[in-house]
Order: sequence, then C-alpha cells, then structure tokens
Amino acid sequence: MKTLLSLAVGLGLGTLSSTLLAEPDGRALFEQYCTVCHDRGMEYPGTARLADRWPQQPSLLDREPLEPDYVRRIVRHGLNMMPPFRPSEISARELDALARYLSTSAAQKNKIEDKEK
Amino acid sequence: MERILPPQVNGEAFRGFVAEAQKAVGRDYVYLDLEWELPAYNDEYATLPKALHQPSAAVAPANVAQVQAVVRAAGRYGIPLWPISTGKNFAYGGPAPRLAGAVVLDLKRMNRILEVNEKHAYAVVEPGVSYMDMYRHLQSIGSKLWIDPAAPGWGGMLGNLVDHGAGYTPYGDHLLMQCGMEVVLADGTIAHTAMGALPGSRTTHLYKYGLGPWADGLFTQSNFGVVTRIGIWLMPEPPGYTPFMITYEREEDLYEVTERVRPLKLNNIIPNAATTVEMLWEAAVQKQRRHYHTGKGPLPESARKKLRADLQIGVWNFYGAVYGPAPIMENNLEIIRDSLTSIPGAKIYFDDDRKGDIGWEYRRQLMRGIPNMTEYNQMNWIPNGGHMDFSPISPVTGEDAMRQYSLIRDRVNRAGFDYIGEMLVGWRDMHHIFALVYDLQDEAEKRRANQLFGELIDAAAAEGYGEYRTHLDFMDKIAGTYNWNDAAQQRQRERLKDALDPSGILGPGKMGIWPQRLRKEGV
Repeated sequence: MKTLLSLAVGLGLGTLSSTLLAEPDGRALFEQYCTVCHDRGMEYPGTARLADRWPQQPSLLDREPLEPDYVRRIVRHGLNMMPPFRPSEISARELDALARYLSTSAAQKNKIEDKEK
Repeated sequence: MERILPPQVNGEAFRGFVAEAQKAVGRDYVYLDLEWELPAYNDEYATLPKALHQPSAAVAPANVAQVQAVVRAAGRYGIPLWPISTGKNFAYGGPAPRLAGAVVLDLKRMNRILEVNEKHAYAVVEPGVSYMDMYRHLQSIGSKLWIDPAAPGWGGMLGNLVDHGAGYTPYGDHLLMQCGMEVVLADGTIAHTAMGALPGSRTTHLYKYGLGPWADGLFTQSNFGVVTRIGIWLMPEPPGYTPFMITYEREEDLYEVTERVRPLKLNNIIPNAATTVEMLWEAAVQKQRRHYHTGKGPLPESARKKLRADLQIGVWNFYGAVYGPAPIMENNLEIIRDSLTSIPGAKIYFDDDRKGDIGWEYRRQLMRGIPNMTEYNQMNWIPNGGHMDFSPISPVTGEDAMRQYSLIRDRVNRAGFDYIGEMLVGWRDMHHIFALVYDLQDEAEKRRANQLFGELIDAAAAEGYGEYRTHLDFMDKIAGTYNWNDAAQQRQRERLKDALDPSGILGPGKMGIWPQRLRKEGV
C-alpha cells in the first residue's frame, strides 16, 4: 500500500486513479523528478555538470546503463552539487523502478519514449 | 552517522514517540534508517559539521488528521518537531532542522491541489505541492492562470510563501498574494485564519484580513503552528507579455539604474519584480569559472571582460517585463526605454535578440510564471559547488544599492570568493541576494565561507541593513541584530511562543525563537 499511495501522490491529482493499481513506472518517475535537471540541454544543471565527464552523453536520457545500486546510492545520498531525495519524495519501491529504468540502454530508453508517444 | 536524540529527551521517550508516530502515519512513513533514509534530511550544503543540524527521525503524515496526531504525540513526549514542506530550500539549510536531534515533520506527502478557482484566480494547496506540480496541473486542465515560481522551481508553493519567498512576475511578493490559511497548533487544534474562521465562509480566499488582528503573518517564518493548507492568488493570463533586458557597461551604473527604476516601480510602469543582476550571476548559470580563470581568489578583470564579450552581457543586467494589451505595453515600454536606456552604453534586448541564450531564457520563463531549474546551475560555477544566500533588504536608491554592493563585494573578494549577486526590486524595497558559492570538498573554504557570512551580518547591521531570511546557522545571529529597545520585538515573540506552544515542541530555534525550556540553546 505504501508504494501505491506514494506513487499516486507523487504523480499528482490528474493521474491518481490510473496509478493506484499500477506498478511504479520508472520512466514516469524519471520525468517527474529527474528531467528538470537531467534533460537534454545545458540549461539543465545536472546535464551541465555531467558534460564535463561525459561530453558525448551528458543527459541521463542518453547515458550508458547505470548500475541500479549506484542509482540508489546517488538518489539517497546525493553527489556533489546534487542533493539527495527523501523517501517521502521517492519511496523505496519507486527508487527500484527508477533504478531499473536508468539501467536500460539509451536505445531502450528512446524506444520506451517512442512507444509512449 | 550515529543517531542524535533531542536535548532533554531520553531513549525511552524517543521510542515512545516513535511508536505513537508509527501508529498515526504507518510504520512505512516514520524514517529512522541512518544509512538509507535520514542522510537525505541533512543540510547537504553545510559549511559546519552536518551533525549540528542532524535529525533523529522524520515523520511524513499524509493528511491533517495525521499531523494532529503526531503533534499531540510530540507534546506528550517532549519531542521537538521541525516542519518542512518540499524541503528544497537548500540555500538556507534544506530539510535539516535548526536543532540537532529534532524530528523532521515532513509534509511532502500532503501534496494535494485542493482547488483552482478560475473565476476568482486563486488556488488552495497543501505543503507538498511544488511550483513544478502546480504548473503541470494548470497546463493539464487548460487553466488561464499563471503561478509565480521561485527560482529554482522545485520549491514548494506553501513553504516558499511562509518563508517570505519571492518570484519575478507582478505577483512576486508571495506573502502579499496569500489569502486564507489552515494551521495545526501545538496542542493539535486546527485553526482557520481570517475569513476562514467563519463557518461556511464564502470568502476565505478572497479577503485576507477577516475581523480583528490579522494572524496569518504570525505563522510565517515562525514556529507558532504548522501550516497545512494555504490560499494563493494567481495571476490571470494577460493578453500580452513582453520581457526585456538592458545591459550596462560600468560598475557605477548601478547607482543611476536604481534611481531610475524606483519611479518606474512605484508607478507600476514596470509591474513585475524586476531585477538588476551582476555579471557573475549571469555567468554562473551558464559557464564554469575554470574556463576563464584557474587561479584562486576573485575573478580578475581580464576574465570578467572576456565573459561579458562572450555572453553579450553588461557589468549589470536589468530584467523586467510589461504585460497587458499591446497599446499599454507599447506605452509603458516607451517610458521605460526613455528612462533606462539613456544611460551611456545601455543596450536593450528583446526575445528575438537573445534566442538560445540560457541566461535570458530562464528569466523570460520566470517572469512569465514558468518554473525551471536553470538557476541551480550556479552550483556549477565551481566543481562541487554549494551555496548559502545572504539576503539584506535595501531601499531602492542608488546610494543604498552602491553601499550594499560595496559592503558585500569588498569583504567577499577579500575572503577569496566571487560576488554573485542580484537586486530584486519590489514595491518599495530591494531584496539584495548574494549567493555565496563554495567548494563542498574544501573544508577550509567552507569554514571561511561560514566566517564571512557572520561578518557580512555584522557589517550590514552596522549600516542599518537587516536580512529577510537566512540559513539555519545564522538564525540566532540575525535575530539578535533586530534588537531595538532591549530586543522588545524578540521578547514579544518569546512570550507568544510560550503561550502558543508551552511544551516548546514546534520548530525550536526557527528564526531565533526558542521555547523557554531550550532558550539557552540560542545565542
């Protein structure tokens, strides 16, 4: 119940009824919490930061697969300028779904994106 | 990381509270894990050891009844609570409590948008609603209402407002646009303020003051109650919007710009919270310092000159906007142009002139009520950047603007930091925001930043300037500068605190207000 409720809350009123019965959707969570800093473009602070180390794939949308455990640690502990996210924002189960999404390849992410469109 | 219990609380009392809190909100929403849950409640950009503001636990209720239950349990066990909404106020301490060992009352899960009223142009929200959430919601329902987002836009609408935050549209003075409030008091009572105190009131969110003393302000920047719901007036979408930017070449132009902006603001020719931005603020949101200078200390003039050329910016950069039907915008723009561009070297830019410019684009969005995170790029100015904001209020005069600018710049540069600042012009004041950016991996630099901040407070107070908001570390010190007539205001607040919260459980130390039993904790 914990995850179902918190996911519904996290996604806002408009999606409440449709998400109550759904499993956490990693891509939706990424869009809700991560794209504001990690979308494509140097106006996004996370992307601008990562451009130093990953100039060819600074946006997490284009990044090579990330280890799920690495994602969990960064989300809960932050990394340099990135502050951590609290369990009231992203629950443990949502974090698992988010980590799974970020562990897919850029091609797979784009495939999911196209399918959604 | 080891657990820190609140002062005057033993393990038995803490466990008793935790058990009651778990019963109230569910075990899943009482966070105790020191490895995976509580680190996110620390002050991520702390310049002093994080343990100084480390909570013992966090509790996340989902509704007001659960807030009441948690507050009552805290009262029974003497547990200090630190309420937060979205917890994104990182320049001032983020979600961390002032008092080590306090339990964070995390209201993020209370994120319902309770009402959007198109006819009367307002919304009613719970604490967990961010600017991003509200913007997305308004878009999804096809609303013709604008929000006034703070920068960056992941902040909470309620939390920012009760912390006296500001934005960049004509609704930039957030507290001014507040109307109606629900508060849980320290004994668990729910109170509705002003018109909302009338059962069945039809004007709760239309008239701010009700009858008798207006109490809403007492629950802002305070620890007298937990605000669980708020009415916020929203701006109807105007028929037109024209943002502009004017660049100025010389440091001393700040004097004349400020003198000329004052009448334009007083007469509402420029209706929005217009902003005079120093060049390094512009640079920091889109460039990295090391690409212009790799040495320590303030950026040399040669590097500053190259930045100005590369970014097509001035030493000062004024951002404003006009709104309304085309004839009104054209008329006001003519007055603005006559006044602000007749300063030698001034250049005016509009949207078509600055396509693809990151600094322009995020300002254009903010003045139009579109939240974004671009300003967070300031932390990219240096590797591993963190920041605290020093925020004195200034009169809108050239003399005061120059005095405050010099006061801060000189001390900041002497301490080896860059001056990254802006002056946001409100109705009759300027919020002077200096973003003190430091390297989170450099302990010596962090200590220096903390010391500098304290020096700035003293120097500003000596010149008659006070800050409007501050980081956890400096709440006591700044509260101490508001000490006229033997600190009569502070003593009044303490009397209110003792009357409204005799157990002293709500937000101990918030803005220098301590409950009687912990008053010695303050400075």
